[in-house]
Amino acid sequence: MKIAVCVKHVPDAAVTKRIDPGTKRLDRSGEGSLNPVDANAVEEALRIRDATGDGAEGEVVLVSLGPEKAIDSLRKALAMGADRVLLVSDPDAAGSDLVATSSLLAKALEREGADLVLFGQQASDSDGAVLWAAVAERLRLPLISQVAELTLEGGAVTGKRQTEFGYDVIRAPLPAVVAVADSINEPRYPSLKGIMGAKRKQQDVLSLADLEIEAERAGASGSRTEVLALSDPPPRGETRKLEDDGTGAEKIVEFLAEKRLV
Amino acid sequence: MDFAFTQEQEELRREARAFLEENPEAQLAELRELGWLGVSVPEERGGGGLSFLDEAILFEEAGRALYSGPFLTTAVVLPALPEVDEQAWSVEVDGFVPDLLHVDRVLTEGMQSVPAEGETLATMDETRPLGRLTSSDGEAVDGEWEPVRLRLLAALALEAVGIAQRALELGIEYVSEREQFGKKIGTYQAVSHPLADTYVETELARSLAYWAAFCVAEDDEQAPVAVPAAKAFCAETAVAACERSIQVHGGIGFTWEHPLHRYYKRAQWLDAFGGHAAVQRAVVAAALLD
Repeated sequence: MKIAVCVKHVPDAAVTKRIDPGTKRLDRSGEGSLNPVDANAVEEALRIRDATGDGAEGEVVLVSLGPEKAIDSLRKALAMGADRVLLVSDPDAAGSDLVATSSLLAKALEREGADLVLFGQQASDSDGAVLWAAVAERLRLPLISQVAELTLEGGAVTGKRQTEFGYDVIRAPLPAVVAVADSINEPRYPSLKGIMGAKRKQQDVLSLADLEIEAERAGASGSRTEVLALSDPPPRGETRKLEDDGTGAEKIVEFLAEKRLV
Repeated sequence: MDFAFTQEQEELRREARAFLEENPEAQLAELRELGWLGVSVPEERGGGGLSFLDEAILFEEAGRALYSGPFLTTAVVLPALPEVDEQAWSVEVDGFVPDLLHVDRVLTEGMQSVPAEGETLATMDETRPLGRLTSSDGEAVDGEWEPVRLRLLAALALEAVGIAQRALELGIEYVSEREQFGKKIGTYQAVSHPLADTYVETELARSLAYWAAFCVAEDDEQAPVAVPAAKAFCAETAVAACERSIQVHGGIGFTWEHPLHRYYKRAQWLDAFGGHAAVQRAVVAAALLD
């Protein structure tokens, strides 16, 4: 069983995010880390690999698109137990939008030909939550998203999909694409051995040329969207401060009634 | 010559810190699962086959998190055993056994492996009580006590660095938020200077502690001087760091609700156990002059 997990190197949660006004892109120069929900996808892949037993045949491959320093974040997933990394990194790919990114990732995934492709539901930097859909479409594979529970049986994958009103249980034949929610599992902490051995695992960095993708199909030229303007959220409207002189509760009810909220 | 931590060691520090922040009460079994026990024991004896320098990072982080399980003592005993086992270990030094209640066996200065039976004493640091063994008779363990003692003192020094670091961070966080006379109190020199002193001392302490760890790891001939030098300075640094942090915290600093008193008590514990700074300096002096 070969499982590909698409992961992303994102600005670390502790870093204040900043948009570069010149390029209108997120400033990614600071400390980065593995996208949090991607750790859930890696964890799920490892559990499936280890449960299917045949250790020799089972493989978890990390697939990512990003700058070369993304390797630092991917190493955490290797330390957790993933087998190897395929990073697509090319200056021409910088600034790829969802459409361009999905095409590059699909190309890399085609090359791997995995039985199961896992994604974390969304990335903490852009919060798009659509990349997996675009990739599944390009690969012509079935897709289950927002999965809180995953089982594999008889060449099919069954996902319990979280919705606003309850759960959908969906089955799809393999190969398939699955986007997991953070409720699916608790990612393991890498063991000391895992951390120390991560660097020695296979880490392939491929350029666009290696994947036989023309530069025009990547980066800004391959993107179908353009960021026109960015601005801060509007300031909050007028606020009213109530001093509680014992009638605070009444005043709040009065205010809500005035607004027709009660 | 490269004195920097390797990428893997930095990664180990990050993960250890994240784990201990999430699981400050983790059981020893969980740490064993993560491969934190027997790190520097060769693989053929069931260990991790790495260096005491890698293990050193765990001691520092355990101190920073004020971890209270018998991790430190178990980790320093394991290399002395023929094979890494699943038991929790402590050591008997000057008749005292840390965490006697929470371990299975105790290694004594006479290299006896003794069942952990005895009474627990009232100690200032309640998270790491000391006990006294009922009997020091047990099974003989092959080997010498000296390497165990050096590992132990080096580990205590490293833990002290973690304590000092955390006390400093808590101080910085507080004075960067707390305002008085319309300004953050960290802008007043009487507040910022003590923290700067702590920073300088903590950095020096860390250098000494990792030098000691290096000497232990490499079985270097300087180890018998490096280790007491580190133990003396690191423990005193941790105590001073806590005292200054308590001071800049003002009233809240000496309440039960604030964690600082626990760091302060651990720092005092670290200074006392295995010999106060003055005792350690006497060892250094003897090595230099005798």
